Amino acid sequence: MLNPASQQAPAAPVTATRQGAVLLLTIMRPEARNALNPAILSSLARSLDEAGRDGATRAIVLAGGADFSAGADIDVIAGHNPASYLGSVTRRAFEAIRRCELPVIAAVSGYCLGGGCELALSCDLVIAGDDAIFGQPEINLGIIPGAGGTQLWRERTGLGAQADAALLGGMIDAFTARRIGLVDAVVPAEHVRDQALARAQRLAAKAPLAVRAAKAALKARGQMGLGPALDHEVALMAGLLGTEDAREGTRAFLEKRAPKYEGR
Amino acid sequence: MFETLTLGPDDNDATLASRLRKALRSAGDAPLLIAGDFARSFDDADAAFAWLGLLTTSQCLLALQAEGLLGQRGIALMLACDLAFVGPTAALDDAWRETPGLAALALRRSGSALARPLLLGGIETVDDMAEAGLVLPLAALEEIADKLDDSHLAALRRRKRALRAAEALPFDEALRFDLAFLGKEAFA
Repeated sequence: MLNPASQQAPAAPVTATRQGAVLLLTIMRPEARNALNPAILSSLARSLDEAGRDGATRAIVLAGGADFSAGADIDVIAGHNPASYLGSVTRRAFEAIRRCELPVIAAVSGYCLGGGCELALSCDLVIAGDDAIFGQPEINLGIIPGAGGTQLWRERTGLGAQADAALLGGMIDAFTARRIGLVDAVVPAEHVRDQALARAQRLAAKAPLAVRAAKAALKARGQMGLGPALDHEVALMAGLLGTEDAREGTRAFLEKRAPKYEGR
Repeated sequence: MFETLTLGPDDNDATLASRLRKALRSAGDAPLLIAGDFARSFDDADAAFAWLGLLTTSQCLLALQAEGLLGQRGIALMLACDLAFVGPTAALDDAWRETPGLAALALRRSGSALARPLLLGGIETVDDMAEAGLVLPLAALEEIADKLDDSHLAALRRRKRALRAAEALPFDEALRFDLAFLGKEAFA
């Protein structure tokens, strides 16, 4: 006979709820401070991929609970060898998350360390609760960040804070993170999700094709030099001029009314 | 209502950091009152930085009950805590201005206008500090303690968080931080 615990369906590693055109993804592993395991990362990657194709989602909020994520599951890391890590679910999942074409806002409270920090920094905007703690402590375990933790700080903070985080493995609080540019806003921790959702709703009200194009243009700078990135921006802008959304945006402006974008 | 941490004369900076970390964890949402012996000087820069960091980043309401001689430790604690209450025997050590970190702590606690007389001259005694509003008489501690029910404490904690936001964030973001307590409807 099965005991009651074994009869329960396993809890979803990530829950997805919808508020209009905004998708809220919440990591659900509070008993381990939301340590990232393959189930969580695969679920996130799948949800983000589906959201990018469903035609209904225009913005995404990625949240944790009391802790955003204290990092990658140490047991999972310890179980890898050099060959297995290169092809691991973890690595592929992080790549899938970074490829997401929709704008993603991280709502961070509590610990945001290691892989959790890399996950937050993979998002386009990072809203931190005033109790948030950021860091890349991998060096203290004899390894280094393996999902962007030696690169993603630099884009936001410059080389000094990046080197400090990756080489010394210390932790910084939300206000320090804000001062060095690692996060985009600090809000009361108990309201971080609502604040991120409010921003996501504002994003969702913008022209969806333009938002995707803006995100693509922003990401291009990290993948190419300034000249090609500017050329890419021009090409994206030119493509938008043929859209119904662009016509609606200018029409609404001239008619002094709020635009109604259809994503066409 | 207050949790109390009483420091002994033999508590060095490392011990203080460790005891403070435990006391803050144990206090939870309750305010923490730090009392005991404050005559010591700093003996370990890293450990002193650690306990000062705990005090200056904690969301816990922090109060100091100072009596007797205030050495480097006492001055630093007084400026790092939210409220400092002094008894009639409280007195400043002759070398209190040599306290490492005094400039940063004074500026953070009292602003530029009071940091200058603290650092350069003008505020010389505990009475001067009381006159400048940096410390309160011990009787005020009892008055505050009498009023500290759960809702008052929650309000004080919220104001402390808003104060930290005001110190650390751009003006408009600090305003939004405090307005966020109105609830999500305010930002719909």
